Amino acid sequence: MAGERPLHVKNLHATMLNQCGLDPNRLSYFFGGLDQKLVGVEHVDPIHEIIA
Amino acid sequence: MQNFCGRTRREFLWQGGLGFGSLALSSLLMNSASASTKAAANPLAEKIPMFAPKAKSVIFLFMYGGPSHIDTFDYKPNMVGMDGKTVTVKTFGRGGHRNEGRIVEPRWKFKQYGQCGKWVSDLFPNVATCVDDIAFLHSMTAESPIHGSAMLMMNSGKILSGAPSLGSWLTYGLGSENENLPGYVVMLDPTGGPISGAKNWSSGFMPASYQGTILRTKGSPILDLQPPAGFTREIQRDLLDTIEAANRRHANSRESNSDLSARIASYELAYRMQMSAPELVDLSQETAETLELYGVNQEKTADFGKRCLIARRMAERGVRFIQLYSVEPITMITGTLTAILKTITINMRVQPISLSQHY
Repeated sequence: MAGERPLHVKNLHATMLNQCGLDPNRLSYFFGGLDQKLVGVEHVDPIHEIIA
Repeated sequence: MQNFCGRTRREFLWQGGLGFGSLALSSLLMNSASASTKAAANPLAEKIPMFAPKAKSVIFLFMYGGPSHIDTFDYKPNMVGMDGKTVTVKTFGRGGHRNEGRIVEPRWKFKQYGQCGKWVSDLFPNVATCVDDIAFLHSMTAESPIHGSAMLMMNSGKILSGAPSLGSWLTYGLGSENENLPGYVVMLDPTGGPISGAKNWSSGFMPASYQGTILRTKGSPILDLQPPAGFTREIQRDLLDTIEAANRRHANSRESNSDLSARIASYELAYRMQMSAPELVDLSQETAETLELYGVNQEKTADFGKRCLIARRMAERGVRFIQLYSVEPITMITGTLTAILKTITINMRVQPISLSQHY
């Protein structure tokens, strides 16, 4: 249902990286003094409910 | 390691004038520096994933500007009969944040399909047959109601441009399995778009070798790939070898410059793609049944079907991330609601999507 479990694009990205064998919270590229990540600076979980 | 001073560690020590101690230290550092430049030499070399992967490639079908979710896969029976009513609910549209919205009721009927009993509208009779293999996310939220920034967010995670796209992250993390094809490919809709254009597949702050490569389905697959007439492959090989020798001499004193080694690698990739790209888009190898299933022979679905088929062939050949754009020019129509709805019905070209179960 739409109202419960709101998801962000970050969760979708995290899920896709996860399925390809990459940890979204560890895959980083150093730029501008930061270890940049696709999912941003906070920890983001993949959407475990849809992973078979 | 990064180069904050714009020179190698070796140079810094030499210039620092630390005497014999620096000779020993710099030779130790030289060994570690050359190991990292070997990795930078081919940025698209295949890398080992962090843990066992479930998938090897991603085919991303980006059909932006489509009908509302309540007309496709999100069944809202309570909205039927409420057309035109204004209700109190927080909305965020192109008019900004508002506290009320006017309802447009679902215009198509819904039915249940598959073992899971998913409700799907009449717009998707073919996709509906595969619902047991599809995961639907109905609770996605967005931060922008505008096409341009929302698409950038879907592609790169940020509503402002400048960040690497999803395909760049995947090719950065995993490399490409096939050294004869680009690791990240984008195929566009011939009618135009997408909004924001090349920013959607840009590599952002990552080296340019990670950006998406456009593959065309009409004419030559990649622009400027084939050399001019009379320029044989042998001449080309000779030229590339000479350029590479010159570049390597230049690179020797600039080991940490990844742009240069990426440029050398890209010449080699272009050389190999001249052989592999025409084979990739040659659909004569597919059976007639496959072409029929992908809708290549029907006018409405021919273009998208052809692109989906090529995407599948690319995934078979180890391309890491393939993105297809397909646009419904709904937002470009300024006519009445009826005209918009009529266009949706005419332009539904979704037959290839249901092919997931055949692949």
